[in-house]
Amino acid sequence: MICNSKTEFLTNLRIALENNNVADRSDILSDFRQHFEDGAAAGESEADVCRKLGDIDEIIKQYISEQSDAASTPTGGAMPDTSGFEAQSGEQPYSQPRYVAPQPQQFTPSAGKIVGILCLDTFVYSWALPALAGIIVGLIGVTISFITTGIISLIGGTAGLFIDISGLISTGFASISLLFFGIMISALGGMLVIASIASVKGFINIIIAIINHHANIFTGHKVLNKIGKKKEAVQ
Amino acid sequence: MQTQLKRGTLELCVLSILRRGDRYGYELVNIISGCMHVTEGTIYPLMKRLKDSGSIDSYIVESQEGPPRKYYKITDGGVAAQKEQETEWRSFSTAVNRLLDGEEQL
Repeated sequence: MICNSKTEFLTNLRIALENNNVADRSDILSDFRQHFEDGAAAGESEADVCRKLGDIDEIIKQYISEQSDAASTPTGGAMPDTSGFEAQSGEQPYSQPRYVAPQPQQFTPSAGKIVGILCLDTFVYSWALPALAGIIVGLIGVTISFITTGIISLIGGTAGLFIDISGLISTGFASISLLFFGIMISALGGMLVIASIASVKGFINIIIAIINHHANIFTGHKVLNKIGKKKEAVQ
Repeated sequence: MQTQLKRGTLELCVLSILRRGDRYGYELVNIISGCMHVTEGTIYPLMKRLKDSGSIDSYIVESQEGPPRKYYKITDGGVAAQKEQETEWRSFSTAVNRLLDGEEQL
């Protein structure tokens, strides 16, 4: 992977070193940290330093192959590797351990967790979710009525400034009061719209959380991202 | 350039640079990348192996501005290895050049 910042590079390098069990990790990390600092002192941007350092996987492979080389030739004084010329047949002149990409672990759900989730499901589906859905439907209903009332009052109030509407309303509202009433109700309606959207979003996220919780118990990882949240890793 | 070929010659390059004077990592990497196309990150694994095998050593220099720096220096063993490798490289590259230039006829 190619990174864009010092922090990203060093974090990914640390993880890759750990995953591949490379020796002297803290020394290696401090070498690269110093490289970034020297790069910054020389006026290079972190992104440039990252780009020139190259792919972390490549660096890790190199550490692994150097490690095995050092083990096979203790003096380390290998001559320039002209064997590359002789390897016309395409076979590797020396064997090196393959780079190991992190593997997802085998997962088996535990019985206790399954019983737990069944109890939780009973509660959630028979009571919590319907109640929550009821509240949200109610909220949306109130919102719609507020918006409608507000808009009608605004229209009526505005119209009343120009024509006689005293025959249409029996409450004795002056049209100017009706106009302000309309503004107030519309504003409240607007806030309710925001509240409704937020609650619907929240409701969807609750559903997603429930699905993810189930997925986590049965497969060991999440399946969905919550809406409104960026880049939460779905594995 | 073939990775195998570069891999082998990089070690000679690093040892030769360090024979002329001590360098810190960033400096060394830049000297090499100024002369040939290398993925800079792969020089550090090489440095680690050279250090583990005793061809080079490192020491820390405190600096006024910024954190202490790690310098690399060549050891006696490293100098011997460099000489041996340089001789091998020169005779090898001469041979290759002769072949490339079509001078192999006796």
